[in-house]
Amino acid sequence: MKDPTKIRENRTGAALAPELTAEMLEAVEELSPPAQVGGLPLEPIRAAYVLNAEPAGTMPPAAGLKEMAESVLNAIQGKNPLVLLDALGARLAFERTGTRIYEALLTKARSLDVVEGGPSVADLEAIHQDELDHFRILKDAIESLGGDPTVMTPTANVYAVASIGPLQVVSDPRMGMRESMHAILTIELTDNDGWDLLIRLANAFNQTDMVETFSACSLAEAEHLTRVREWLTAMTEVAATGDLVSDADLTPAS
Amino acid sequence: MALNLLKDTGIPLDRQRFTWRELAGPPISKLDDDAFTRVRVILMNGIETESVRFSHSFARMNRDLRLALAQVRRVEHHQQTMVNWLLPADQSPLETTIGYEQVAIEVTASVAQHEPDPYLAQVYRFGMLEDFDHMYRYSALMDRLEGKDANNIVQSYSDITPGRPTAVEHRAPEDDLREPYNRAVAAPITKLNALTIMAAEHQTHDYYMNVGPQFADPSARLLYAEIASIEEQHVTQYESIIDPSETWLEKWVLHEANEVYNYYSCVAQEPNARVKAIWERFLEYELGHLQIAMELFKKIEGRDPAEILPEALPEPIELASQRAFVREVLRREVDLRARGTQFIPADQELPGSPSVEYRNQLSSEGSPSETIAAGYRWQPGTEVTQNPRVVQSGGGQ
Repeated sequence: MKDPTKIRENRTGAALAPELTAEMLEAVEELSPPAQVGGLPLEPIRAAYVLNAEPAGTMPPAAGLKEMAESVLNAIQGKNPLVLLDALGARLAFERTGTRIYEALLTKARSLDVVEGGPSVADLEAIHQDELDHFRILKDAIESLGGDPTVMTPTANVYAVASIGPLQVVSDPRMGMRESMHAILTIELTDNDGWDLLIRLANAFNQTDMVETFSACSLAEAEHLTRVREWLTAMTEVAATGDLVSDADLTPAS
Repeated sequence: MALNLLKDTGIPLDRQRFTWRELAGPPISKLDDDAFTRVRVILMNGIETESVRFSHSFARMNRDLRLALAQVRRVEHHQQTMVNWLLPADQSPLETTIGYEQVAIEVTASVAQHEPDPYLAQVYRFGMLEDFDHMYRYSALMDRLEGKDANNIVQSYSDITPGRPTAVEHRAPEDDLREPYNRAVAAPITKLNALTIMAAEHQTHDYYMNVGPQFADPSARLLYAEIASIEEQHVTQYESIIDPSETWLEKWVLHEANEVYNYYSCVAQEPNARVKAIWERFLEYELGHLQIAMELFKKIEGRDPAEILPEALPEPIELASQRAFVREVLRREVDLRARGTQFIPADQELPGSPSVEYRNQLSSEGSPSETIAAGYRWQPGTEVTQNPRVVQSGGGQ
């Protein structure tokens, strides 16, 4: 795949057509209203809806919780266990989607030439396996609380919406390894903080086994983040300092 | 490239074949392709959508022609797929919407200038000024919701300023009907123009109805609801200019001829070689479809297609910026309104008239298009770059 920073065919940007842009601004001057000063332009509409909105979705009937072991019930006494189940459901969904995102990335790694400074196929296979393992750990954790791991919880839904962008980038065949790594970085950053939050929550619910298992997962995720940052940095530096764009290429297009 | 509609046979139907890989081929580039390549892709998706829609309606009313229609329609469906799948995944629904409005502005403006019937030219200019305003409202939404510059889609070919305000475009149905052309005396180009613009507007309506609910932001949901309603009015307007006394077969022949004409226009102006090859291939396919429709027209109605079609195609639709014309029409006609099938100055639209009552009721809880674009002035790089005060928090004026 060609490096998109070595080709100059982009047609967006007003500077490419200064005369046409001047005509547009002339029309704005003649036909547009005075600029709005102050205030958030969409707030009048948004505020009314925000005030009256119902949740996008809620937790399921907590039937499974009745079957919780007495020790678990004692541990969570006085707290809302649905917050923990929601967070577990969210992490589970995120790891499951993460597994699929890494599968899309693996195809690129296997199909394209290795990018200098970027991950090897084996590197990505290892992370893919971690994501899958984490998914299974979370499934077991939810079941241990009497929850249903197949539920899409409210926060799982939030992460699903928030993951649409990275998924679109990594699954788009036109976006190469370096472009995909930008999207992977947002996934790993979120993943790291997600595990930290979950460990704090499990701790608050006195789930010592979970804290221990999740801490191991968190360490693995921290390693993923470190490596992704290194790959992205190295690939970007190679792109910047490798085959430099020639002076001729930098001559303004006529 | 001179085509003879009556004699050029194109590619026969049994040789019009596809594979899935062809249908879902590489898309165009949102960043690198010319905006008018996107315009052509959207336009031709609209033309193919109309061919499929018309064919289904025809089949539901004509038992004997169901098979012939189904055979041609299957190819039209796959043509539509191949064309629409040229749109890239990184082009968001709002960016595609800007593309749709650019089609509505530039293609309608071109058609208006080449329409020989002065009343119908007025109809096109009237509708064009409304779509022009939609571009402005959606651009304001894109800037204020997503922090993106709509000019990255329109590439400086189209102006982004108010037209006839969307808020006053809402009309009672009786003020959206127009007088149809007379099939016996109308010029062929008049019939083709009407089909082209009706097709483009119909797909725009359907697109907004599909993507509108996909937005989370209430401003966007409201604006799509409001503008989709105008697109419904535009479909009503443009289908009403077509002579309803044309027979089904006559309409079929005209639809196929119009598809030939539109692909012919695209072939003549497409700079992207890969996309041009698709237009060339489908031009040949459409000539094949036209042959089938003409044969059935001759056989069943005993009429000569030359009665309704010219031998040579009219000049291609000019798929290029119509800025000067649009601006001139804005200056002269932005204040027109409609009463029945005629156009009147705004000051003749009386309080209590059906459209005023209809409009007042719909906007009685506020006008989304007015609120969303309040004080919006397009600037290169979005209004944020020019006037940082607009993003200050705290509300108030």
